[in-house]
Amino acid sequence: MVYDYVPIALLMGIALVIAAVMVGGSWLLGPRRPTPAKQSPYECGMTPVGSARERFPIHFYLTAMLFIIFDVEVAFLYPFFVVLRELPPETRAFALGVVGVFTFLLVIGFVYEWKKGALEWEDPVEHRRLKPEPQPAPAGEQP
Amino acid sequence: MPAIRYTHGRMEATVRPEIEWNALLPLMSLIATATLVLLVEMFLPRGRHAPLIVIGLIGLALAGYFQISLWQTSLTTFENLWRVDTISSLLTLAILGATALTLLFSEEYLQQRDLRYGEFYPLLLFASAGAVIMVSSTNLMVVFLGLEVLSLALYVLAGLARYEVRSEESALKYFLLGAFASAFFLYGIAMLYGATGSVDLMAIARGWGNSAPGTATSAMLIASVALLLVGLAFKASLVPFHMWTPDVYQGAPTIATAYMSAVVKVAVFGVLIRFVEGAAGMAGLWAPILWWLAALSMVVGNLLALVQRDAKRMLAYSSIAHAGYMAVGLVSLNATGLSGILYYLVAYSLMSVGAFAVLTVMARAGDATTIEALRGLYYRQPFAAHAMAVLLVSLAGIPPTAGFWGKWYLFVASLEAGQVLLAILLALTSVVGAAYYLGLVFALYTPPRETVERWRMPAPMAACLLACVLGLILLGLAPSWLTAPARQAVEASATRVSSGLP
Amino acid sequence: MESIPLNAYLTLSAFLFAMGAVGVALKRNPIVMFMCIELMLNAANLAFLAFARYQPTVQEQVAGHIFALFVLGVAAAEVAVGLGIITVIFRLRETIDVDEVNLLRE
Repeated sequence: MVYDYVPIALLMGIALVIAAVMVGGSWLLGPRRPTPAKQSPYECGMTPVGSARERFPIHFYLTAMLFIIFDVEVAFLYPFFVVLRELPPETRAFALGVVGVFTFLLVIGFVYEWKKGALEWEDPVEHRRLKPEPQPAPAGEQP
Repeated sequence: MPAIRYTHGRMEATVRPEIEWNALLPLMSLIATATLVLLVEMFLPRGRHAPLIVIGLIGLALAGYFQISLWQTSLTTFENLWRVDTISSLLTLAILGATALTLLFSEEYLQQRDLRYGEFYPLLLFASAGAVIMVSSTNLMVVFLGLEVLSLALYVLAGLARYEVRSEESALKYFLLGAFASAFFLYGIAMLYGATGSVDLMAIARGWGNSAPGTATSAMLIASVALLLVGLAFKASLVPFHMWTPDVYQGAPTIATAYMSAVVKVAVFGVLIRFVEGAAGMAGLWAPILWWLAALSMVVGNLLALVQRDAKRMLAYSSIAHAGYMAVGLVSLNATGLSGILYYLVAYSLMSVGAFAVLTVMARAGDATTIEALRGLYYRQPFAAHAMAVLLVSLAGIPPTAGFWGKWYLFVASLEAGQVLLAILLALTSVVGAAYYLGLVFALYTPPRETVERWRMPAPMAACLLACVLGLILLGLAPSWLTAPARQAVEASATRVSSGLP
Repeated sequence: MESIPLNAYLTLSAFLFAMGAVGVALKRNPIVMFMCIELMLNAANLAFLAFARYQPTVQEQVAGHIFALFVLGVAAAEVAVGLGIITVIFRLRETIDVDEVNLLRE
């Protein structure tokens, strides 16, 4: 059964050869007139200078988090749609009801984050709702 | 999951699952309530929580009503994914009760600490839904999802005080160790699935009966049981898997601590009871491990509680000790032990919610919960001090309170099972426990050094404390009122498991 | 064509799980610790899917598939909650190293 992997090994070998030919060919044959712009790692796009630990606005995280939840929840719908057509009618109604409840709960989650302002970029939730409030006294300190 | 038939290489779901909707009504009303509270909270002005509490209490009462009407029924539905019997009814009612009690005294704490987050209420209700799911199934897929619903809500509740580093630290610790434990639990389920093709706890018994020792199946079953036990021991905070408990209990807002101390114990020990029933045939393998977990929890929990200066942290260590006492019932693996756990869980919920409820009154004085700060509570708020005294006496296990009977049943159970050493340890560590509980009672009644002002007790909190105290005294005076159905439930469940029914 | 044997999947899965568990125990950065936990969850998922391939009946096979799907959902929810907590801590403390996050250990 090790022979089953021969095609994969062949594919890898061919890929390596093609890559080597292309890179090596341009290195051998191409003219070289370096300019500062050409020397930089990316000829277009951002300049890769400064600290690698750049800070991003917190909204990116918020949006990413919201995305990942809905993204994965939608994955639950795929198995349903795959089998929907094959279901007998009386079961289909039941299945639709189940998915309806699921979607309803998803929509509630969506309405919730909308209403809480998590989707607004300009007037983000952090600034509107979480103005520095009077700090409560730290808990558990020795009196 | 609809029944599936294999025809020509494709799946066909042809039959609708038979569903007893009655059996699902308690959970459905709980989730509907939580969703409703979530929706209402969006449209209320910030800091107005009274309607949320009212809706929550009504919903809990409704769920409780549906659950009580299922009393004495025993059935599985939804393709064996959902199980209703007296064990699940009893534990569900305990969870609903603990949630209702927490709802009663939370608002005062949120106001005093300036934590005006209405999210607290829906999160609390969703957490309860997760706990109810955990105790109402033997299918580990359902149990795992319930566990995650409960845990995820609790991580957020622990970090509710978002301007306070302590609260966030406790949330982070709880989250990392909780997720770690979940991963162990999950891998245990995967092993069980590999060994038996099923993710039901009752499949352990079948798989063990069918597998010859030394085969891959039996090896996977052993790994599965070990991993499940580690995951559950983490969640139940049994020594040596307890290190998160004191930090989390102390750092989290006291209302969250009150809730999690009671409800997590109920839910996890509910699963553990089903687990030991399913894995009874393998007791020779896991019982010695659980023996050590129980013994270490009792000794370490009580000894470390003795040296704490903070009441919240002390109660955290004492909760480890109480988990150890209940684990004694699991090791005994007889009707007395398992029904003793059911009794203990109900009593412990009342004691623990009540004790932490009293600590929330300290929110008025900067939320310091050191024993020093609690000194002379009687002169500030006599009712809270009296209630705390009763709760602590019950936690110490002094008759005629419910705490005594709980320990007594577990003691008798371990003697019946021939675990004399464990019984002696239980008795000795209880004495150590009494020392620090009574020390705290003493501090409550010591006159304070300077003159103090009297505090007003809000009516809902008074109602909560009164319910806890009366419940404990009633259970203490008439323990058979609870132990008789508990025993019946455990015996019925054991018969069902041994005859191989779902 | 022969398929990859079950043992290969299980070895990989056990290796991933062990790597995750060791990572949680040794690493001090909560985000890395959390990634290790995700690794453990995915190891369990791999085991589920591998076992599902070898179950005799479709009903048993589907149980493993559904479980894997649910684990994905749970992992996503954990990401949201976990990163939320880590973000709040970072804003409060400007550090998330778990060794520096230790006010509670008195």
